[in-house]
Amino acid sequence: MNKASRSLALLASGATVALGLAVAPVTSASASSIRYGGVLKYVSSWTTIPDNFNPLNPAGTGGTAGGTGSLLYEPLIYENVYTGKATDLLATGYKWSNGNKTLTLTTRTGVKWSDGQPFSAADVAFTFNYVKKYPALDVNGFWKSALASVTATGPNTVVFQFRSPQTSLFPQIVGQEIVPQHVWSKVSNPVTFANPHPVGTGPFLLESYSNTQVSYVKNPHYWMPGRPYLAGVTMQAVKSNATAQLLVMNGAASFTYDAITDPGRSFVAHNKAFNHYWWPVTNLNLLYLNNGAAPFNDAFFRKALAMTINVNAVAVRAYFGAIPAASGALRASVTPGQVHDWVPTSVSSLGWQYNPSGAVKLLESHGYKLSGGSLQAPDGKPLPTFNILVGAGWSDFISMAQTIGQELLPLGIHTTVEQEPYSTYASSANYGRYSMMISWGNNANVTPYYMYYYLFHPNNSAPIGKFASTNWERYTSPAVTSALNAYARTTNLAIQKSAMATIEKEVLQNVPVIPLTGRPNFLDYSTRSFVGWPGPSNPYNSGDPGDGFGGGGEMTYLNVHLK
Amino acid sequence: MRYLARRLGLLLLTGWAALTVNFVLPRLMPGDPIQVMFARFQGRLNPAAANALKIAFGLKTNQSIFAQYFTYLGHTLTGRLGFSLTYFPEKVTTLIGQALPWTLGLVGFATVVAFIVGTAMGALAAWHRGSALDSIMVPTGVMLSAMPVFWIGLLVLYVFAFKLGWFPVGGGATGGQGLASVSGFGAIISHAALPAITLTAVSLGGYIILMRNTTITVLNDDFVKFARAKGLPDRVVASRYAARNAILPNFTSFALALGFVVAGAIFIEYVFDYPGIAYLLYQAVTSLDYPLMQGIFLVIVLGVLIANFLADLLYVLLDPRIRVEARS
Amino acid sequence: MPPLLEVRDLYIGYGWDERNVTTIVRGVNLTVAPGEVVGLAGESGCGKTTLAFAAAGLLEPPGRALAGQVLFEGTNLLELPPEQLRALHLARISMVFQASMNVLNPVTRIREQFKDAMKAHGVGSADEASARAKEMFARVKLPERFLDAYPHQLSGGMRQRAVIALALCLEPKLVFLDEPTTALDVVVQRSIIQMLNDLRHDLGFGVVFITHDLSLLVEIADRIAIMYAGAIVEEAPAQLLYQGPEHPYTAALMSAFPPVGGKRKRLEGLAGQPPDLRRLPPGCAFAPRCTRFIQGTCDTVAPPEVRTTEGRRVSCHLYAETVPSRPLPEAGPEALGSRGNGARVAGQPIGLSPGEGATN
Repeated sequence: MNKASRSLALLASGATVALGLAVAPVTSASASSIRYGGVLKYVSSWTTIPDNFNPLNPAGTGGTAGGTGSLLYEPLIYENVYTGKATDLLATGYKWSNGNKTLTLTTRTGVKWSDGQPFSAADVAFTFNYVKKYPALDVNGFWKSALASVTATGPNTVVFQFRSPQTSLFPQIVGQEIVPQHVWSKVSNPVTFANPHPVGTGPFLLESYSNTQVSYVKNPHYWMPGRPYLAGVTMQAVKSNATAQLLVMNGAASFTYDAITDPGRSFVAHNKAFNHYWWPVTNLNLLYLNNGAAPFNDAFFRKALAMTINVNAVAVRAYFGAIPAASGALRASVTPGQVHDWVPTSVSSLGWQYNPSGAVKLLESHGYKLSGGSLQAPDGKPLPTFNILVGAGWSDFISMAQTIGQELLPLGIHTTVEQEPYSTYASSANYGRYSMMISWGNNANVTPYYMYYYLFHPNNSAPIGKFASTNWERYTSPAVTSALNAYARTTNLAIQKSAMATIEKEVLQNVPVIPLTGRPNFLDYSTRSFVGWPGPSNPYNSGDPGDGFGGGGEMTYLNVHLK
Repeated sequence: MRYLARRLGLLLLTGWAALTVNFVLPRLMPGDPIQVMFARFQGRLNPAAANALKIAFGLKTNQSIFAQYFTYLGHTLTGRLGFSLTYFPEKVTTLIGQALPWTLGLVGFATVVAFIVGTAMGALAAWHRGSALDSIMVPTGVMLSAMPVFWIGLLVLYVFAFKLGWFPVGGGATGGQGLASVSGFGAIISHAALPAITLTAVSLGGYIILMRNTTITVLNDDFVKFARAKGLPDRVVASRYAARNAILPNFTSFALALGFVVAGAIFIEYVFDYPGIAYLLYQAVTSLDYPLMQGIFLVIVLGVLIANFLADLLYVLLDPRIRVEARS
Repeated sequence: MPPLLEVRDLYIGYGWDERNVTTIVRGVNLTVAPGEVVGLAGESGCGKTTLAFAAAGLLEPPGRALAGQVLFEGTNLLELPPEQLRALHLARISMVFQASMNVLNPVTRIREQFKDAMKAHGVGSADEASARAKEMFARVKLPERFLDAYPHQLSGGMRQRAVIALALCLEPKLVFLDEPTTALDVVVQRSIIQMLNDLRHDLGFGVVFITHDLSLLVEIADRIAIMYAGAIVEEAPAQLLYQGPEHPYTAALMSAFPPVGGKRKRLEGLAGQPPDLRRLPPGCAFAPRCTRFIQGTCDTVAPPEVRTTEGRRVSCHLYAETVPSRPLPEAGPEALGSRGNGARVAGQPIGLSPGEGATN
């Protein structure tokens, strides 16, 4: 890792979103040691790269053209989901005022659209109002929540007015990719508009597109001094992950995004000098327990299950050690990058520990009885066999479910693994038709708030048999709800931290879900030709080459350079 | 004419049935496209997007099932197959339009070549029954048609692409080259060579054996003996008498094979990373892209139906005995 | 006058493999004079069709001539190059097959089948071919419009007339009629036989008429040869044969097929099965079924061919010099009286009968 490539990440550190202390990006890079040029090749398994360069595309599978939109369009601030750190892009600062009902953003000066027109705050206001005009574009639900108006009050100032304080919307607002008013005001149907001649502020320009390959060249007028290092970026679509992995291993491409099975052995070991993977955990895999039905409606019962499941064994069986178990502070349903800032040590030791015999005692203290290898409820009836719901053919979840099933046996609980296809699986979760289910946290973001909000907030809940968007386990509690609401209204970090600590305590005591393992992004890369990749020592992004959900693909393309 | 009208009626009826099944099946699945989208993104899609997506996909959940059905029929008949979920905002028709030429080109070509070559070889084997040619061709044909297509595909891929490096490993053409350019065309041919050879090889056997056996039967028919007794040259007896009659059952299986071009292509396109419609179907199935699946199924079903209809029509031309039936 | 066809000591085997050949025609001698009608009779499987194909130069694998000659107008057809042989077919030697659905190519029009035949024999112009086809259709009393029909559109009788027209269109010198009426009903059969007789008078071709219906042969043949197990066991002028069959097999055959219109008579039938050609009994092949079997002779010694009277020959120990000739009791004089009379169906017009109408 050399000095120049580190500078961006260093400068990007040090402030959390809610504090509003976003820092300036790279100012000067001593480029003497950096080799400019080279075309970075990204391979991914897409049948067809969608012919779509519309960054507002509502179904954006990672945005545009196979997730390469971040080379063309930029958000206001890049927020790293892994570290929680921010990097200013089209915004240079912001301020909350008026009881947190007004957000004032300062936009960057000297930025030009790739057609030569100057970028201004008006483009930002236009983008948000455009999304208001076309509700199909409002994938973050800005205008359905508290946002009231967005106005450019000066060439570099844009003001967001809220009906009520909703600071929790901040990551989504600053993550919105901005489009030029002078182009988009003429677009008649932006929902299906493919934007074949994209005009953006990003570090690259579209060079050529075919449905198997899309190429970009360096934007010579990019605003960030000295960047990008690369002369171009090419994304090639191959038909399978195995092919993509092969191309990276033989040097034909430099990186791919894929959950390689046992990456240490099947990827790195082929060439330890070049082949690396970085899988930063940005979400969790959870064992959802259906809190709406007996016996999972009893907190002590859920806790006993948690005490019986060895998550380390689960993680190893499912991911061969490449992905960590959700142990320690992660039991509170937070990601590793959030632990330091958001989980007080007084809290992280609460709750349960792995203790199968303790679990039996706990259940017995509530009238359960272990008899002949089966657990009997206080009324004397043995418990039925429970299904553990997983998606059909998802081998990692299936391994987890099998491991859990074995670990629950000493507790006298019998399970079977039930595989359901995607749509049935999703529907079972939404309508609460399951006992136990392995799934992911929804919309995890820079702070624990987001995963909590979707897991526990009544806004996302419904009784069993009714559609609950994300509160699949059906756990809500007044304490958690008020803590979530308190967080969402304030910009005071201390209040936010204490709100999160409240929830952490609640979930560690009540065990609404059982975190099993981390859920990472899957960056697999080769240092044969290019260096400057993100990694544990320099986590300038979360390893996602795409442009959606704080993936920050743009950061990779700004930092990677020739060896 | 009544025959034609009957066939056409049958075509329309089965077409309608297929359309209806295509409408009903996805609706029997639990969940709607939005839920599917969320499941597909595995927690990476903001749940707030549900509303936006409903509007974008034009889902009118408050419409009655009959209204939906007639809207669907109307849209399908006017070629509006909706948007792909995976590749939104690409239209299903656009995606199929991109993929279909690859499949038709590759599999269509291979099927036609297999039919022509296989039929000719089968006729030849029958004509020279008992010769060395016959005793090589028939076991080879049996062996080829008995081997699983993906297995041959992998074998061919390994030998000619990996080991010998004569052909590219996969794909339709090297990225970035259009169909029109000359170098692009060369790339297309070199990419199509291995899958085409594989496909031809596996379907060849069936035609050889069928043609050989029917030709042998036909050669014992009186009209072939009488043709010889008329002093016709061998060439005429072989072509206008023996082959012309023996080809009829072969033609039927050829017409059926044409209809199943897409279905038959799945393994080939998968093994060779070929950007055709079968691969698109595979992708649609794995990513739960129901509109795309529906569109592709529609193309397959219509393909089968139309191929059968055309086969019926052509059969009328080939076999006067049917023609009489057709007139009555 | 030299014979039109002379088959000399012909042996024909059957088999793809040299080492595994079954001999199915054994030492046949047969002569056909110009314009003569020679009948060839015998049970199914006796080799008469194979003999006819070989004699017509149409033998093809797995059939093969093992020995002997087939002289057509003095030329050995068995040694003729294929191209010259092909030129003889239809033009000089023709063949009419047993009436079946399939004698004509089912997928082309009859006119086409005339044209390609004539084209193969140098009648290049389509008009000339058409004119000839038309003329032949008139001769076989078929309406001209059926020239443009497909075979399946014709009834069995009509189809057979078309086949005959086709077979005779180049006025061949020798015509093999291989059970030409067998599959047809009796009425149609008669009219076709009548027509063939007329055509023969007009065109003057020699005929080898193959059938298992001996009574039919007696009516139309000049001479009759009886085949059994691949060999000719008796040959005689038709009248003589009919009056007094010499070979016990001939006698048995005659009792199996009473003349049409003759007195009702109990049919003796033929006991037993023809022998397996791969395992012929020693001595006489007919011995196991023979009612006049001579122990120790017929089952050990092959019967010699004996010329009993002028123009007659029989292969039977009964007529060998060492064996006294005995009168044959089987054919009674009453059978003689019916000969030739009841053969034709009175008042039956030749041409379209209800049974011969087009199927559509």
